[in-house]
Order: sequence, then C-alpha cells, then structure tokens
Amino acid sequence: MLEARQLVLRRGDRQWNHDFVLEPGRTLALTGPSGSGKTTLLEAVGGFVPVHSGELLLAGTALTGLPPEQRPVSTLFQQHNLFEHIRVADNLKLGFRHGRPDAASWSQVLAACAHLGVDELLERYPGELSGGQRQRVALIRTVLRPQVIVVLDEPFSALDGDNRQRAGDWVHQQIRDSRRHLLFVTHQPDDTARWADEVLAL
Amino acid sequence: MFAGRPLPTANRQWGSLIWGLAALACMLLATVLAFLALFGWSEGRPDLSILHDAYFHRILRFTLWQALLSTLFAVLLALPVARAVALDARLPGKALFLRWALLCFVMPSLILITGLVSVFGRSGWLTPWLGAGWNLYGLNGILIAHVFLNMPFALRVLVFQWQSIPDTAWKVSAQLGLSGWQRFRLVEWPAIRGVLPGVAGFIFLLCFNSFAIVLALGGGPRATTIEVAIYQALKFAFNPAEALTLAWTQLLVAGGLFLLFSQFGRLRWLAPPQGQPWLPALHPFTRALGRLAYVLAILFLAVPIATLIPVALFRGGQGLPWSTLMPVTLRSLGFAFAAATLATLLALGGLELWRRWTAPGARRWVEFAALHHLVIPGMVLSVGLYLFFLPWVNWIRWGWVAVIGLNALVALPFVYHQLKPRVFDFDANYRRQVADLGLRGWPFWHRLYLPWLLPALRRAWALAFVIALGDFAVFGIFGHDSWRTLPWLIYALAGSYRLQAAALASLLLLAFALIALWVLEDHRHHA
Repeated sequence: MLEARQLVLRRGDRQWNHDFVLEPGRTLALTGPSGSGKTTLLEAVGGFVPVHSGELLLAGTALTGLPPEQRPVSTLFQQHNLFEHIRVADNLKLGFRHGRPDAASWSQVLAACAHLGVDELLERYPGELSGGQRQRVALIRTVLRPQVIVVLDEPFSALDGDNRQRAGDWVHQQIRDSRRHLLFVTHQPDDTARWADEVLAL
Repeated sequence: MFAGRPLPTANRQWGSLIWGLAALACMLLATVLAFLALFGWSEGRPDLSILHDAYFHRILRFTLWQALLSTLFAVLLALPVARAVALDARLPGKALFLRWALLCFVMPSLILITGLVSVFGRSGWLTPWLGAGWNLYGLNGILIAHVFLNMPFALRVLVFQWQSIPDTAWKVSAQLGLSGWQRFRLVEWPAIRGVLPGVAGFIFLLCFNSFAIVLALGGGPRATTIEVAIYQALKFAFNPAEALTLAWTQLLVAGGLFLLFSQFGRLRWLAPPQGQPWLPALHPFTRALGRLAYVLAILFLAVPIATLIPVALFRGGQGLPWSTLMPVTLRSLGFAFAAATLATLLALGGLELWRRWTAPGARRWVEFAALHHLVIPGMVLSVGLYLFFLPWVNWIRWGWVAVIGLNALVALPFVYHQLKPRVFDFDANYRRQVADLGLRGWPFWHRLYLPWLLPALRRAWALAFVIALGDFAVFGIFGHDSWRTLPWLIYALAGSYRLQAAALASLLLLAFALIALWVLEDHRHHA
C-alpha cells in the first residue's frame, strides 16, 4: 500500500498538501490545471523534489529519506526519457539490472513492443522515431521495470486515438496483474474514466 | 514485493570520488611543488631588483608588443576569409581548408619553423625577392609564425559563428531588401562581435606564452619573450630568483588575461561544421574580395609546409640518421599516446568531481585546477619539478615520466574544455532519468556514459595527442640526447645545417599529426 500522510510539498512560494492511500494493483489519476502541482507530486514520489513535511510510505516503510536511485519507483518524465545516442533496444535494456534483462523479462519486453507496434524499431536510434513511437518505447521500459511504484507524467500525450486506447489498456492491465501502484497525470477526462481507480483532483 | 527485498546499500560511488580527487591532486600538486622548489632555490625571495632593470622592461615590452601585433594580424586576416568560407556557397574545398586550418593551429612548432626557414630563411627560396634588409629572425619571423598558427583558430571560430546565424535571419533580411552593408551591420556583426574579444584574448595569451617559436626565430635578446627569458635564466644563468620574478610577472599578466577572456564564454572551434540550407546572395565585389582572401590564406597556410616536400626529397634522406629514426619515432608516438591518455583520464576525473560537487565554489576550484596550466609558464612548471625531485630522482633515467606527465598537464585545459560541454549536456538532459533507472558503476559507464562521451573523447584525445607529439619545451628540460623525440631530432638536424633532413623528419611528424586529426574529425555524424 502506498500512502501519502500529511505530505507537504513546496516550490518557491507555492505549497501543496496531499493525503491519499493507494492499494496494490490500483491506479491513481492526477488531474488539474497547469501549475496545480501534479508534476511536483510525481517528482516528490520519485525523490526529485524534497518533501517539506509529512510522510510517504510504501507498505509502512518511509520512502522520504531515500535518494532517487534507491526508491522502488519507475518514472516516465514529460521529456528526455530515451537516451539519444544508443539504440531503442539498448534503451529498453537499461530498465533492468546492469542493463541485462533475463530471458523471461526480455521476451516480455518484446511482446509488449509487438503489442504496441514498435517491434520494428528496436535497431533504430530515438532520433529516428516519431513522437508517438518514442512515447510508446519509453512507456514499455517504464512499466516493465521491476519497480513497485510506476509514475507516468502525461504518458499518452503524443498518441493518437487507437494507440492511446491500446497503450492505456496495456498499462492498466500490467499494473493490475502485477499488483503494483500507478500514479499518472492526465488532462483527458476519458483517460480518467477508463483507467483510473481513484482520482486526485488538484 | 518491495517489502520482501532489502533496500539497496547507499550509492556512494567511492571509485569515481577517489579518481576525481586523485586527478585534482595531480593537477594542483604539480604547480604547488614547482613553485615550492623555485622558492626554495631562491631562498623564498624573488629578485625584485630586476623590475627596475632595462632588460626586464625591454622583454616585457617586446612580449606584449609581439603578442598584440600577432593577435591583430591573426584576427583581422581571419575575418574576410571566414566570411567567405561561411557565406560563399560555391567556394571550392571549404571542408578540406577547415581541416587544414585545424592542423595549422595545433601544428608542432618545429615543423612550421623548418618550413619558414626553407621559405624565408637566409637561403630560403623567397628571400631573394624580399629585399636586402629582410631578416626572418626577430619580430618578422615571430609574427609570421604566430599568425600562421593562430589565424586558423580565429578563422574556425568565426566560421562557426557566421554559420550559427539562423536561416530565418538571412531570409528576413533578403525579404526586407537590406543592402550588403545593412545586412552586415544588423545580422552579421551582432553575431560575431560577441566572440571577437574572446578570440583575441585567447590568441594574445598563446602568443604571450610562446616559447618554441621565439626560441628558434627570436634572434637574440632584443626579441625575447618572458617565457624564453625564464628558460634562459634557469638553463644558462641558473638564477631561480630572477626566474621567479619573471614567472610571477607572466602569471599576473597571463592569469589576468585568462580571467578576462574566460568571461566571454566558450569558443567553438573543434565541433563539426554545420550545414546551411539557405545563404544570401553576396555582392559580386565582396564575393570577389572574399575569394581573393581565401586564395591568399590557402597560399599562406600551405606554402611553408608544401616547401618541405621538395626540400626533403632533395637529399633529405642522406642527412637523416636512419638507425635512430625508428626508435625516436616510436618514442615520440609512445609519449604522445601516454600523455593524451593521461590528460583524458585527468579531465574525466576532474569532471567527475564537477558533476558531484554542484556548489558553485567547489566547481570553480575544479575548473581552476583543470585550466590553470594554460597560464602557468611551462618553463616554471618544468624547472620547478625538475629541481624539486632532483635529490631523489635520476632524471636521465626517469625524465620520460615527467615528459609524459607534464605534457598531459599542458594538454589538460584543451581536453577539459572539449569534454565539459558534453558532460554538462548529459547531466542537463538525463540526470533524472539515470537516477530513476538506478544506473551506476560499470554498467553506467560502459552502456551509457562512455558511448555518449565518445565523440568528444575522440576529439579531445586526438587534440592532446597532437599537442604532446609536438612538445618542445618540456623535453628541453627533462630530455636527454640518449632518448630524443622527433621535434628535438628536427631541432638538432636544423641546428647542424642539415635542413633537408630536418624537412624530411618534419614531414614524418606532420604525417602522424595528420593521422591523429583524421581520427579527430572523422565520425562527424556521431557528434
């Protein structure tokens, strides 16, 4: 269970207070206008923004004092998710320990690539991909990493209707089956209705 | 899932910290020990009486004067050529010319000196047409050599600057019907004026610290720079007190200049040239002038080196000590390889600290440690360390270690300057992603960081290799006739009037520099 207990975040002179509980296998959608603190909350979960006060707990263990490298969090940022100088396949492998996934994990990655329509792109460099293709590749790596908390900042923003539907369903199923926790930011009411178990309107 | 697995141990990355601190210690210790040694030998007292001496005033005045003139000529001559290269779309051979310009900037001085002597020296082929009063040795030779070495640097910076003017600026100026002069004033001048002080300052600094050129072409005490005077004070008069005063003078002037020009931002001169899809039409007159400047620049930069070929072919092989050529060549290559590798490792170590220490003060220390060798007189560093270790080290046997180490330090500022922007970009783009993925240690370096750095590493290493390959000054202190390098073999051959053999050896040295620069500029698609 992921719990934000009287969590206070600050950026400049702005402040946000959060209290929520998210059970394993469930999805929390963060909605609200620009500047309402959605990305700040995601970054605090990932350890990139310090917590002013309060607690962030996973199964009763405090995450707050841990540096980003040690948090069980996998993040899809709004940009710079793929390393431009290495191929798509190598970018995907970096999601696993020492950049060397075992056979089972890699076949899972390949299956996801086929499902989301990027399996032909593994030998290309990210610069050769469209915005939507880049987003799907980054999404696969982020979701299939063996981390208990998955954090997605506007994960479908570059996807058209069909791809958005397919990617969203896939993410939702992955999280539910593996009983992990998903937080994602969206501006689309349809996304919230289809995939969110809970909504945090900021 | 999370509760079932232990938390990872703290990610301290001791290895990179130790590497960085060791690099920092090497960079700073060399300078500190050198100055300590000179203080010790002069009983801690610089000889301040020299400050009132006419000899000192003459040296200082000449050092400043030749540096000023060299800078003015180099920058002013580079301007029309750079404009032609950047804006004249139909100018032939531009890519080759820019590569040649790069080679000229880093060209081992001894090659150039041999070439200049072959053209402008007492028996040079052009000398009979230069009038009875012509003398290469003195200000003439120093200026020609300094302009040859530094005009290409100014040229490359200015070409990149002209090419960085956005496409749309040219298109808008064309649509507005701006005249050539208006376009220069409103579009071009604002783009290039920002780099001119930095370019001029850097060239002035290089000419101010010039050693090999002034030693070979200076022609006596009336045309001597402070760097050469330090060498003479230590090598011939063995007067550390006087050398210290000269060294402090040089440090103050060069350090002040360095601080000043480093405020003007980074100069791009080694990055691959950019393509320009749309260029404005030039006025026929300015285009013709630009082409004339381009042809003259090619002649100026090619003739002294091209002259070496017939000179070398004309009985060059007869005077060359063939039995020693192979070991001398291998030694030069080995030293340059080791020095370039060491300089790269030092720069990477310093940059590890730079990445780790985000406080501005700490970063300034790292920068200072990596860049200050640009302004420390090479002679002070060499002689200081020579004296410091003299009681314990047999330099005839172990001098090669110092030759490698000090050449690495000489090349370090250039290497650091090339690598830092790449490291900065990596952190700016990917720091959060790397932290999120938990990448560290060998997988981080092997799979991610080194592939990212590779184009810059290749450039930086090759640059350091060519700089070390042409070393003249450090070997002058630590070297020994029993293990000569190629530049000193050339110097010895030229000094014993075997100019043809010197030309042949120069061509050999030039070939190795060319190969290194091919490594440097090839693979531009990765950069």
